[in-house]
Amino acid sequence: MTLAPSPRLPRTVQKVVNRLPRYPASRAFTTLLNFTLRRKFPADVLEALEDHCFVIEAEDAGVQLMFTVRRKRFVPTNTLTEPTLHFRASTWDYITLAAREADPDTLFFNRRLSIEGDTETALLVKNTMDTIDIPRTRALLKMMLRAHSP
Amino acid sequence: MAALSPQATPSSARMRLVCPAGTLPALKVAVDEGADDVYLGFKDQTNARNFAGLNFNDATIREGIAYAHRKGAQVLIALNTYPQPHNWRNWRAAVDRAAEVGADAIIVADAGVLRYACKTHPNLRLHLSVQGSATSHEAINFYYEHFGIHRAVLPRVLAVEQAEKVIARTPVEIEVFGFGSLSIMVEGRCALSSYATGESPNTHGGCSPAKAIRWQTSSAGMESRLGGVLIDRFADNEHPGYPTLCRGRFRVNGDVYYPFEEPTSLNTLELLQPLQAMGVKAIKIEGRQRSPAYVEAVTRVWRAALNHCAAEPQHYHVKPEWQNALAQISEGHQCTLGAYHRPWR
Amino acid sequence: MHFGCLSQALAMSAPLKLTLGPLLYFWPRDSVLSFYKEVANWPVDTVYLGETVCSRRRELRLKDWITIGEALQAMGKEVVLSTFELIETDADLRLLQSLVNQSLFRVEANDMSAVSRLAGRIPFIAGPFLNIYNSDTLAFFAEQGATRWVANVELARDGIAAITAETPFSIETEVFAYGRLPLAVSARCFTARYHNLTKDHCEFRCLNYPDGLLVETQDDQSFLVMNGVQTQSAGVHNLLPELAELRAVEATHLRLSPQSRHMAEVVTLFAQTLAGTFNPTWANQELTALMPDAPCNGYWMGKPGITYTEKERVL
Repeated sequence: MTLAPSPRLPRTVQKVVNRLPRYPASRAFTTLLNFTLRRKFPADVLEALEDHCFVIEAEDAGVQLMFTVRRKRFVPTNTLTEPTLHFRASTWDYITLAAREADPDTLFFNRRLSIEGDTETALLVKNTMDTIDIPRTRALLKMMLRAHSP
Repeated sequence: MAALSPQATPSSARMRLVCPAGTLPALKVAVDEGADDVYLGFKDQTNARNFAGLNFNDATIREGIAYAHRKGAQVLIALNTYPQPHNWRNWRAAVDRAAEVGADAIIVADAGVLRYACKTHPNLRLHLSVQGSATSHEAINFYYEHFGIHRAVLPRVLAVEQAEKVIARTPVEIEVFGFGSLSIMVEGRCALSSYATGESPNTHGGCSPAKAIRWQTSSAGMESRLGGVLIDRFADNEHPGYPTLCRGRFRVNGDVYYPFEEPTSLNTLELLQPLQAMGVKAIKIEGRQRSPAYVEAVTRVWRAALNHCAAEPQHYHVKPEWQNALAQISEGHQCTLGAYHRPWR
Repeated sequence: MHFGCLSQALAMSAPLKLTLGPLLYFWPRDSVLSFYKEVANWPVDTVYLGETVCSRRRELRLKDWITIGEALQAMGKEVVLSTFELIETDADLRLLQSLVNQSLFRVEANDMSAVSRLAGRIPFIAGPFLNIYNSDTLAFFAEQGATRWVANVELARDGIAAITAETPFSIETEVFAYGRLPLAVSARCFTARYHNLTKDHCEFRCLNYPDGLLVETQDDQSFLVMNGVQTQSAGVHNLLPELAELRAVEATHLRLSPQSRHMAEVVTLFAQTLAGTFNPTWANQELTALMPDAPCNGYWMGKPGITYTEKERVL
C-alpha cells in the first residue's frame, strides 16, 4: 500500500516563499526554533548536536534552511560544508510531521521524507522531537492542515 | 514439578492491549487511546530498544507511571537484554529502580536477572520477555517454578495450534505479538546483527545499530549498508526499508532476492477471535522506536478491534478502515499473519 | 598480552581438551556413519552427537546416534547427546524425553525445555544457545546441575575471562573455536524457501549443501550460509592462533564444528599445535587452506564477528 501523494503548497504561498532569500529564511527559522523548542531540548542532546550542520529542504517551496547548533542555540549558517543531516520533503509533509499527524518512518519508507547523512544523529533528532510536547503549536498546525486538506 | 492445572479461561475473557512507548508523549497517547498496559525502557542497554534519544529517565518514568495509573493503565518496564560481566551491576540497579518507581511489572529475559529480581523484590511482578526464547510449556513452567513469572511473551515462531497447546498446559498468562515490524528469527537467538556490527539485541539492546548504518546513493540506486555490509539496493520506484539483516536482499547462486524474509509487518487482526478463545491474556504491539503518531494510530485501531472482539466474539470481523489505517504506518506496507499462519509449512 | 603473562598462563592451567561439536548440516546416512567411524581415531576427547537443527532430518534416528556413541565410547571418547536448538512441537518434546531417558551418555541442553527435564536430576552440559552471558546466570545453571557450559559465540575473550574469574565454583568452560558460526535459528526453512518449497515438503534439499548454502551480498561479499532453519556465518571462526589466550581465560574445552571436507586434518592441526609439536604460524597457514571460506575471529576480539584480525606474533 502506498500513501497518496502529498498535496502541493498553495501557489500563492509558494510564490511568497520563493522570494525569500536563503539566509534570512534560515535566520527566521532558527529564531523560531530558539523561541519554541530550545528550552525543551535536553541539554545533553543540544551538546551532542553542537557544531553539526543541518539542512531542511522543502523542494516544492524552493526553500533550503541551513543551520547549526552553537553554545546550545540554533544559529543559521551559510556554509558549503557537508551537512550532518540533509532532510528533503514537501512543505505539507513537514507540517504533518510537526503536527504529529504523520509518522516519520512511514514517510521515509514511502520516500516522501529523505534523510541523508549520519543515521544515529537522525535517530537522536527524531526521537528527541518525539519527546517534546508543544500542544498549542500542534493544535494550530492541525487546524491549518484541516483547512487545506485536499 | 508442581501440579499445574490447565488454565480455565472463559472464551469471553478480555485480552489486555499492551502498547509500546519510547517517549513520554507516546505513553500518554497510548493511555489516552485505551492501552491496558504500556511497556517502556530506561535510557541504557538494559532494554531491547536502546536507541539514541529514546526511552525514559527517572523523572519521565515517574510522570509516565503517575499518568498511566491515574487513567487505570499499567506500566511494564522492559529489562530484557542479557547483562555481561562488565555491566551486569547495571541490570541489578535497573531492577531496583523499577521496583522503586512503582512499575507494575518488569519484563526480563536473563535467568540471572530473574533470580535477582525474585529474591530481592518478591512483590515485583515478573514477565518473561520474548527474548527469553521460551517456546514450550515446559520451558515456561520451568521459569514459573524457579522465578514465579506471572506472564510470558511467546516467541513469534509458534503457530496458533502450538500456542494453544502451550496455553492449555501452563498456569502462566500468555502474551502474543499482534502487530509490528518483526523478525523471522527466534527472539533471543539471533546474532546476525553482532556478526556485522558487533552489537545485537542480546548484548546491546538493538538490532542494526544506527551508528553502523550508511545510506548511500550510487549509480546502482540507493544503497543501505550495515557495518559496511551491503544489505540492499533500491531502484527509484522502490521503497527502502530499515537495513536489518534478515530483511536484506542478497544473492544465492546468482539469484538476487530476499533469502530470509520480505520486509513486511506482522498483523494478526484476523486471528483475534481464535486467540481470545484459546485463552491468550494479552496482545502486544511492537514499536518503541516509532513515533507517538504511530502509537496513537495503532492503539486506536487495536482498542476498537479488541473491544469488538470481546463484545461480540461470534460476529467479530476485521473492518477495512482498521486495515487501511495499519497499512499506512507499517514498514513494507504489507501486513502478514507472520508465523501464526504458515503458507510455508 | 605479553610473554611473561602467557608463559604463566601456560604453566598454570590444565591441558585444553578438544571436542567435536554436533554435526550441524544434513548429510546422507552413509556419509555420517563413515564420518564418525573416522572420528573414533581422532585426537578429540569429547564428541557431541545428535540432530540439533531440524526435526525433519531423520537420516539417523536416536538409536543410530546411540550406536555411534557406543562405538566412540568404546574408543575412549566422552560422548554427549545434544538437544534441539528450537523446540516447537510435542514430537520435539517426546524426542527430548527419550534423549533424557537414556542413561549411557550425558546431555547438552540447548533450550530451557531441555534444562527443565534435566535440572536437579541429571548433570548436564549447558549448550551455547542457553544465553549464558554473565556469572550470575552461569551460577543459576550450575545450581540446576550443569557441569560444563559452552559460551555463547557472541561472548568475547574479555567476557569469558570475567565470567570464569567471577565464578567461585568449579565448572568446565567450552569455547567455540573452529567452524562456521551458528548465528540464528528460525521456524522457517530458508533452504526450502530458496527452492520455492514449503518446509513440510522440503524434499530434504539440505542434503545438497554439506557445508550450507552460501548467501552473498549484491557486491559479491561472501556473507552468510543457510542451513535449513539455521543461519550461519559464511566466515570460518578460527581460534587456533589464540591458544595461549584461551588458556588464560581458563577455557577447558575447545569446540571444533564439523565441516564436510578435511575435518581430520583440522582436528590434527589443533591437537598437534596444542601439544606443541606443530609451529602455530605454520599450522594456522595450513588450516586456512582447509577452510570452506575466509577466516574470521571478531567475536573473540570483541569486534563484529565477521572481522578477522591476524595475530602479529604467534607463540
